[in-house]
This record gives sequence, C-alpha cells and structure tokens, in this order.
Amino acid sequence: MKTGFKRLVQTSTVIASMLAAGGVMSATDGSLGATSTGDLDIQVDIEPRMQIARLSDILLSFDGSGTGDVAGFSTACVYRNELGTYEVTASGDGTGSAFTVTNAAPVPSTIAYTVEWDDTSTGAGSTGVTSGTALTGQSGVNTGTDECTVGGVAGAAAGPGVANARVTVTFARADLLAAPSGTYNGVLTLLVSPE
Amino acid sequence: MNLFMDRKKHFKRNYTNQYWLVFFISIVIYSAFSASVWAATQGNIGSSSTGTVSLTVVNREFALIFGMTDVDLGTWNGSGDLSGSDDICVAVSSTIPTFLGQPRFYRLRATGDGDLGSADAFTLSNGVDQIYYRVFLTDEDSQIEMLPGNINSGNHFIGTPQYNANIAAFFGGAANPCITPNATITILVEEAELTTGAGIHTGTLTLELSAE
Repeated sequence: MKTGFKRLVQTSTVIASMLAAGGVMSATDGSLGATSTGDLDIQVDIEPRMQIARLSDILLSFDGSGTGDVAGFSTACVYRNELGTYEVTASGDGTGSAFTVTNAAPVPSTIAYTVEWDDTSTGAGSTGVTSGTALTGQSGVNTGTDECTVGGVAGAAAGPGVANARVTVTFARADLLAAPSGTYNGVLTLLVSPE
Repeated sequence: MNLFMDRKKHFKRNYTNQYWLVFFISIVIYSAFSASVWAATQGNIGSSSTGTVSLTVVNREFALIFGMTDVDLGTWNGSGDLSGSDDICVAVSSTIPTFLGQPRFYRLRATGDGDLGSADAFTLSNGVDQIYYRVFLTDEDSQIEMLPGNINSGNHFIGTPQYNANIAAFFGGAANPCITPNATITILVEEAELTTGAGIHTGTLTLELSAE
C-alpha cells in the first residue's frame, strides 16, 4: 500500500512535469516539404527490482562445551536497481513458519533459534526479526552494475556485488542441552522487497 | 563349450554388476556433494527476491561427571580392610526425548596410576612400594566392581533419571551443582595390601564418563 502510494505520487509528478513542459505524450507529424520531420515521445517505466544472493548454508556443532549460546551466520548480497531502502522478511520451516530445526529420528524433536539481520554485513548492526514480519528501513543496497549474480553464477566469490548484509541464527545453550542428541535440519527463507 | 558359455555369462553378469555399482556410487557421491555444496538457494532479480539458507545443527552426545571429592581412607590400625566412597553426579545427553521417560544408560571407565604390567592398574604408592585397591560403582540397581581400563556399560542412573532436562539444570547450576548425587564410587584396600610397606600411599583414580 505504501509502495503503491509512492508509485502514484511518482507517476503524478512525471505527468505534472510533462504538462508543465507542455509535453504531454503526444507524437507530432511532419509537414509536407522538401524534408519532413516528425517526433514521438518515448517513455519507459522501470519498476524497482531486487535480488538477494550469495547466501551460504550454516552448519553448527554443539558438544556441551563452553558457556554461551551457539550462533552462525551467512553473509548476503542485496541488490536493487536504484538507491533506496528495502525490507526483509525471514521465515523458518517449522510449524507456522517458526524458526526451528528438526531431528526426525527416533521421535521428531525441534530446537528453536532466533534470527538477526544486519544491513552492513559486519554483524555490528544486527536487529532481531520475527518470523513472517518484515524488518523495514534496511539500506546499503548494491546498485547499478553491482548485481549479485556475476557471470550468471550466483554466489561467485569475486567481482561486483559484494556482500552487504548478514543473517545470523542463534541457538540458546539451554535449548541445545535440553534437546536429544542428533542432527537437526531446517531452512531459513529470506525475502527482500523494495520500499 | 558349455563351460565357455557359462564363463562368458558369468563374466558378463559380473561386468554388468560392476557397471551398476560404479553408477550407483557416482550417483550417491554426486547427491551428497550437491546437497552439501548447493543447498542454499540464491534469489533471482525481480520485484522481490527470495533466497534460502539451509541450517544444520549437530547436537552431539556429551557427558559431565562432577562432584568429585578426594577420598581419604585414614590410618590403618593394623587389621581389617580400609574403604571410602565418593558420591558423585553423572549426566549425559540423550537421543531419547525427555517426554518418553525411558531410562538412560551410561558408560564409565576407570583407570589408576598403573604398575609395571598395566598402565591402568589401581595402585597407590608411597614412593617405594605399591599397593592395590579395588573400585566399585553403585548405580541405580546394584554395585558392580570396575576393572582397570575396562568400559563398564549398561549402568543406570541412580535416583532421579538424568534426562536432558536434568542436564540443563545441572549445567546451569551453582558452582558446585552436584546437589543430588546419582552414583557412588567406593574404594577398597584389602588388609593383605596394607601389610606391605609403611607411610602415606597416594594415587589418582580417573573416571571417564560417556553416553551409551
């Protein structure tokens, strides 16, 4: 709704500008003469486009040692075809899109985790996110030719489209201690949209 | 002729089996490689973009033995055996969910300071002479004798079963969280050993706990 209103304002601004310049989209035909000149206006509306890529899987291991929680992260590349902020929505594959990992055997067991998003890729600006709820006001997108897909290979190690965001998952130590031993798997889905 | 045909069939069958074996192994390796390397999915450019990250958490078996206290057997007065014990806490992680309420077992391995014949022998020394002692573990059901270096398996927890929830409580407890011991280690030095040499004999008993 917010984006739609913004687009409406933008479109109205363009139309108003054209009217002010006396240039409503109107082709003009040439006149009969030794030469004849006609013109036509050209307009293209490029919608905001985004991409999230360069994501890596997160593998964690817990053996009871240490004293703190267990966390891991993946950096990400977020591209937008124009400067502007974006929102990110994270969801897990647990019941109701909950942030959980599951061990199927011998009896299904789950461990909950928390998710943080940082739009600087350093982790210093991490903000907690709730499953299914957009985290708004994120900035620092790659623009122009800095797409996240280099040579058609998403996640290429070098070239434009460097990592500019980070997603961190954290498992509470108490939850790991209380859960049965085994290998737990889950999928974290990240959706980025322009604002 | 028949023998030749049989060998030919045999060769052909073996060759075919090997071909399928190689093919099968290749598929397995490829699948494993694909799953481990390319599980994360990258988003495409669009009005919005979606990527996924696969999460794997290996929650390993872990164990904790605590509440260990030195055992002073005192002074031998010239007759009888000497014995002492230490009540300890043992806790291991479980592959069994807590709500199933099934008993949990653990393994315990005991080693002493050793002698010339065995590095694990239960011995005490005064610097000159060695004397031997015996070790007993009391679990939920009974008391068993532990032999040097042997892994004693099938031990039950005594008292409150040490499921994962209890472990979490133990790990998050105070500085000395072994409030409710669930195993007992008993040291026995028989009279026959005590007649050998005089002076203070000391040694170290090491207990290695693991989940079963």
